Amino acid sequence: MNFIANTAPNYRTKRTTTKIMLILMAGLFLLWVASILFNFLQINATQGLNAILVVFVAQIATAVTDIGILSIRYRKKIGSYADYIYNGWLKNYSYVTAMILALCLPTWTPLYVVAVGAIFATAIGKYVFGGFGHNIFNPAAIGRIFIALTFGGTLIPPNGITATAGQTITTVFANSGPKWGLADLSVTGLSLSDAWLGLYPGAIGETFTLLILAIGVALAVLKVINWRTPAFYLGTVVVTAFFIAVFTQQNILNYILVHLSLGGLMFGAVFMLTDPVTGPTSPYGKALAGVIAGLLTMLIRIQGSYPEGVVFAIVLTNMVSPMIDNFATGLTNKNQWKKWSWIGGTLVVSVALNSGLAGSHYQVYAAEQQNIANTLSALNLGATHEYQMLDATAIEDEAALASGLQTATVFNLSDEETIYGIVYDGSLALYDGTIDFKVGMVDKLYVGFVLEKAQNLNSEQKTYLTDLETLINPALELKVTSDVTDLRAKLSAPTEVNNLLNAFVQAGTHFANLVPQAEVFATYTGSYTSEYDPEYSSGQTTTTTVTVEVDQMLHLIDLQVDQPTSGGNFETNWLNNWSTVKNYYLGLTVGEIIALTVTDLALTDGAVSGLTITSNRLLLALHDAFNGIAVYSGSATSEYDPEYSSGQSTTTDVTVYVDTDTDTIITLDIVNPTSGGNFAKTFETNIVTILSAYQGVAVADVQAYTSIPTAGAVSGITYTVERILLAVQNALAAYSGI
Amino acid sequence: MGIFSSKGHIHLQGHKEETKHKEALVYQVNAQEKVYLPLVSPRGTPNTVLVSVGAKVKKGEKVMVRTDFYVPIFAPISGRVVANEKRYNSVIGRPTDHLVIESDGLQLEAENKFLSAANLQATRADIISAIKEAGIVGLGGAGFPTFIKYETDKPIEYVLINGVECEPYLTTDYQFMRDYVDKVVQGAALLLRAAAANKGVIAIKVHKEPLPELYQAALVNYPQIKLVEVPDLYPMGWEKTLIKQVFKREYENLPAECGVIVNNAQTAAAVYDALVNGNPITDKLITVAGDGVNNPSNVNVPVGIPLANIVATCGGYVGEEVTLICGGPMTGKPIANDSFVLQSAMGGFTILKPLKHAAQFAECLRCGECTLHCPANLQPVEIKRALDRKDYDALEKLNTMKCVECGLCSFVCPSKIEISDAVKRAKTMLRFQQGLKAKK
Repeated sequence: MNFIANTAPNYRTKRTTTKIMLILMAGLFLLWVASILFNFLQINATQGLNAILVVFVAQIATAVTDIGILSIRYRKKIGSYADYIYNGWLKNYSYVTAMILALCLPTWTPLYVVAVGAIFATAIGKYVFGGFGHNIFNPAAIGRIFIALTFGGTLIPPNGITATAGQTITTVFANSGPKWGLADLSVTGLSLSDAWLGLYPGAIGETFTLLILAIGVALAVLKVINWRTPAFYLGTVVVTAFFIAVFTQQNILNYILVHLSLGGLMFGAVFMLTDPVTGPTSPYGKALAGVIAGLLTMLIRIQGSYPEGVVFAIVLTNMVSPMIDNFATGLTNKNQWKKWSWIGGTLVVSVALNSGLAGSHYQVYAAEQQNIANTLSALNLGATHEYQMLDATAIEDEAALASGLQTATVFNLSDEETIYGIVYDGSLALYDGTIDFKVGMVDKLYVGFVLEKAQNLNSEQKTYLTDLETLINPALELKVTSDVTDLRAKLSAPTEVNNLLNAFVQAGTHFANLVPQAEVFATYTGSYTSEYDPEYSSGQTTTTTVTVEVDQMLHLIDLQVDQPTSGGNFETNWLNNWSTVKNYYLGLTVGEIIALTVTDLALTDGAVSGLTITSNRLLLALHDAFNGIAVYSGSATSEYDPEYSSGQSTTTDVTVYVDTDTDTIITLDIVNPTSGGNFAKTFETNIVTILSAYQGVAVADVQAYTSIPTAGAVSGITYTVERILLAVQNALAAYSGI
Repeated sequence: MGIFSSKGHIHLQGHKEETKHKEALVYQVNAQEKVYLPLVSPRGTPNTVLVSVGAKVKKGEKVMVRTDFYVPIFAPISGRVVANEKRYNSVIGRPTDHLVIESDGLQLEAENKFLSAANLQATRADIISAIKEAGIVGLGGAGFPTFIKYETDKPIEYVLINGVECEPYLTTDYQFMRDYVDKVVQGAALLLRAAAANKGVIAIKVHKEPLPELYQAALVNYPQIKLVEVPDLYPMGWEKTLIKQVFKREYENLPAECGVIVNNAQTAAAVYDALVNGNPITDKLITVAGDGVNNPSNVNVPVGIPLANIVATCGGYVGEEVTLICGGPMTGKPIANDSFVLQSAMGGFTILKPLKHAAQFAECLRCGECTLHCPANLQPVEIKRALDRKDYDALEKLNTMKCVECGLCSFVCPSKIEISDAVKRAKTMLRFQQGLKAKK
């Protein structure tokens, strides 16, 4: 008989560390799968594939590191190499670290960055300290910070994924207005439910806040994570946010919910702060660590320069865990009053510090908003316009690009509305383009004068530019590049806006003729000959020739006319009124001109009083120019349209221009393609692609389209392009074919 | 107890069904079979022997007296005293001399009268001295001389009869309480008088049918004693946890500080048996259970029988390798051989197939489960860390000496770390350290 005498107790719970880690992996896995589905279905296949690859690469890199380091440690006397490696890999749980790290990275992270980060997290974040159980810092957090500091540039989202090129949603949000001080999601284009449901591109596992919370509750019930740290952490964040919202007079619930949903806070709370190895061991210690982490997170968000703050707060809290353990020594049921007062005290400090700072930032911000608003209204500069977002590549100022173009007011500087001035995040640019802003917090005021498409400036204009500097302030920076005529002036106080804007109003008049024109899509010429023309004293025949330049939607760009009249009074009268007539036609679409009859003309600005026949002749010449164009109109309504933020039904109107000679479509004129916001921006960027599916295509082919062909498909606005197709087909229903 | 302190208990799988309802076996002592009584007390002091080799003794006759506390020890069978033998003594941890009595095959019983006056007129002092003379020790496993508890001069409000039996596998208290209701109840009444207490509580766990009905019926005549059912949690049988559960009171060192004396139910019955019937502790109802024995069961065994024989009665071991534990698996000490003998304080034996938890060993992940379940509100993981770095100050601050070695920390540890053992070692080191300091 062999009596085995282990030490007491000889009874163990069935719960093992490996089982705990595997359940944790299951939770992470669920999150990962949800993210893969979202990326495939809502973003595009590349990002969906990336979501899979990032995790794979992280796991493989980690496993390789594990095996490498364990191999270095291996000694023959330990036993079988294979057993040692397998046991070491299993029991060091680096695969959990790899999963957490991978889920904190965005889908567009280059894979080499993922690999290096994972190796760093495992080797430096874990093994250098002695392996599992001995590390001081959460290895995934260390890896994440390493990646952010070393490869930060590569984490910029590629074009077309996020609404603002080069910035994640959180960065855009955090940099608008006072940092995290204003919970206005409209700059990001998301609704609160979008933020909680993770319906936006970002870090693989961090966006779906609601699912993370549910998984967290499940893990706490299963005792895989200790509920105290995340509960006290979230509690501190909520209470602090509550008071900040009170001091900045915002909707409290909205502010709290925004804080909880963005920046990977819930993910950090459930998966990173709850890492038992890096936290205190006693129940009180765990609660206190949660409160401290909450304080630091809010502080970094409100006051620090990093938009997210959560990983840093976690690492800082990890640093003080041994101290907390020391502090919480003794019997666990004693000194409850002292324990609660330390927690309460830290909470009070968090509230006081953070709401104080947020409040003061908000005051500054609000004051500057008011200042700018006052200045602008005092200048009486005319209506503000809402336009589509400015394409960042047109602006070259690196600081402006880095901080992003978030907010501005668009206003008219000249009567002709040919140049627009924009104040964005402190940058005032004169630009003819499409912008959508509202005035944000002004830190510094940059003033720029950007002209798209280099124009040849005459010497007078060049001199004027140089003189402009002295009009503003001689001590300011001036930058003129050869490519884009670009004048920048940096003002130290927003109050100098006044002088500056006046200067630019003057400037506008000098550069009025430099307004760039839209691209010419087609040119039509037509002529009309009238037999007997009483407006000619000699009553001979007269031919009017017209040349029309149109853009891709057949809107008129330019109109030229040869010899509308013979001379004399009529000619003078004509020349005096030509610009009115021209502007009249430039405001019409081809379809409208075709539909116009000479009778209609009598009542409009296309007619010149006393020159009826000439005006009619012009119209008829235009009809001749547009001969061979058939116009069909149609519309389509979609009932539920997710591309509208409120999901209402949308109607798009389309005018289809058909070349009757070849039975092909010339182009489309689209009205109301989308509601606005992200989708409108995507539409504008891709209008050429969309139209290319129709331009030059036979009508019969288009009528036979069952789905939008690749040529016209644009990722991100599926409903819109489908609706356009429907509208086109509706329009062409009346086309019988000749 | 607040969200910062330990829960203090956990529900364990009891494994009680394997022995609970089985009829208890009775160990037959054959003629010439020997019983062995250790000549050394549990504390290591030599006992005074009152009989010499060759003497004939009857069952229940006083044969030895311990010299550390005054505890008389009685012959468990009738027979003849033969030469001393050295046998392994599981309590001391090494072989010691044992007094050997060879059975004569008869069951001659000695006449004892520990309590001179009749029950109802006995004074408190009489009762206590009778308990002392009867050599009653705590039968819940500790073996502490019962009379000492009652010699306290603190005022006692309650006597708490502990029938909780929170260790897994053991069902001896349950069967005993089921089959000897009167002895337990009347013993409790005696103890009330020994303590000069007005009220008594008999505590059992929930779901112990038919004990509640039996005791409610019996206690009708004893209105000052109540039956209380406590939740099925470990270590509900520990004095501190039980007193907190039943009376909501706390104390530092001894229950007497808060007006309570605790005794095991079988101890109470032994008091009754000794004082009223003149029977000292000679036989014990013990549980032999676990998956390492073929026929787990309760057994009625005389004191002094070698364990190998007792296991044989229960069908023998299931295999060549087992873990033999004296007591329940949580606090019981595993013994490396089965040649030791049953002593009166032992309540049961758990025999288990070799445990496999070593394969699940991982590094400490500082989850804090040990701290979350410690009934003494200690921080076992911190104690282990302080031990590893030999930080005696930290060990003192962590109140290491308050550990009762219940084993819950090791039980809950997911990394299967021998943390309870580490705390025991820390206690030893601390005692040594304090001893060194005292010498200075």
